[in-house]
Amino acid sequence: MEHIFIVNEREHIKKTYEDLLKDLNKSEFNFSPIIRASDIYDLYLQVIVSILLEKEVSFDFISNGKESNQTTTKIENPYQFATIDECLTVISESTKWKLKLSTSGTTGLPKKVTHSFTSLTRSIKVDYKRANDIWGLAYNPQHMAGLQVFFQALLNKNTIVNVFGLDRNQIYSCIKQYNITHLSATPTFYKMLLPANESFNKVLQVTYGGERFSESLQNNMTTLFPNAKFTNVYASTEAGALFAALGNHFTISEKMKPFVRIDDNELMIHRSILASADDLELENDWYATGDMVNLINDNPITFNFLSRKNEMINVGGSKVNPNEVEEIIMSMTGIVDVKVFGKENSLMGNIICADIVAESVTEKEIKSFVKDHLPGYMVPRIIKFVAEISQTSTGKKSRI
Amino acid sequence: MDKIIAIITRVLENNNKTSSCTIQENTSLRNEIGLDSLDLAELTVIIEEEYGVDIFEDGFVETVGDIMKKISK
Repeated sequence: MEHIFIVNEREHIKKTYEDLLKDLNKSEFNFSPIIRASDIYDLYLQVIVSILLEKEVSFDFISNGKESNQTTTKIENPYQFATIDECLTVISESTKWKLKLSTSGTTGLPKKVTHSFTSLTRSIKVDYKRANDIWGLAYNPQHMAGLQVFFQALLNKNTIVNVFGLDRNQIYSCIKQYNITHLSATPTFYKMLLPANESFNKVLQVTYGGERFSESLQNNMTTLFPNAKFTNVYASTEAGALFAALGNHFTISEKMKPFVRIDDNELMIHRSILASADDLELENDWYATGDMVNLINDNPITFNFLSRKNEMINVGGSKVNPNEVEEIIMSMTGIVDVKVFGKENSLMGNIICADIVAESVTEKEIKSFVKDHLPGYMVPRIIKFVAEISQTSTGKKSRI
Repeated sequence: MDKIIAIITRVLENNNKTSSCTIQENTSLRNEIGLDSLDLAELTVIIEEEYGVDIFEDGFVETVGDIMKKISK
């Protein structure tokens, strides 16, 4: 029986672990330090190749498929693998491989954080009991959460079914056709699956993160996935997946205890478990996450999440710094003033809006200008032209 | 229906997208017209401003006809 590695219905891609092994046994690789992939298989193949070659790579996020300078070099393949297990052993022993990911910074442009194999796979569990897991990949495959699903599945030789960007009917049919057992996604994704007029008995694990799960969503999810265990995961681009909770209460394990602290209701994480980034601001080796929590119990530390400390806007699980968007818009000719803010949205959690004072600039021009400089989810979707921007009593732009 | 089509066209236009399909009641917003989640979120806001109805409030909207049903309630 064929052992599927990755399926993408929309792009008609179905690759088995045998296909992967064949591609990893080529005599030479076309290597590029900036990964630009034609499809999801190509993307993850390039990631695996970079690990085997112990090279530092990053993803090409912003160019949106436009031409950018890209240097590809041919590198001889140092390996010949008899089985995929041999290859996975080499991957698991990687020490020099680095992957650069972008985050939204608190000021200025997105900062880059550099992950190693260890920091990316800290929460990944490999054992024989997981051999038959089938993963629905519901995240952007290049983002932290998508990479977590990728490594979890790869290292256990599981099948990945890409459901990212599919509509409700397509997702339903993928879950049935491929007998998906594990799903990891944002609440926005799960909301897309409603109304729950079917039940998927084979789904055993439903993981969510990035936003809160409301009670009504939780109830609907129980109808949709009657046999599933629901886990809430706290993860960030800076630290990877850190801890999980059943429901909304997080408990810090003995193992994680030395690395987690709560200061004035803010969650602090020790630098030793963060990705390396020179521009992360630390206070005596502790990183202030900006996540405000409510401490429920001291020993073991148990808490739930309240809000973000700063002004970050959560758009479908991706965090947008309004200052960053404002800076880009202000750099356009004809713009006098701008205020970027989030508006609650039932589909995406929040949607980016902008009030703009401008002379002869159109909505379309502003949108395409921002799109050229920032990822799509950061582009203001609702633009209003106003005479002036209102301010709060402290002189700051009011974001409400 | 014409008004909804006008709103959809506006969202496409604003985001530099074009759709070659003829928009009818059973036209799929995602698959046929090509709107992504962010486009749909934008559409939701505009429709809410016009009609006072949050079309995604209680679940899913797949086709143009689904929007019509929500706003006629």
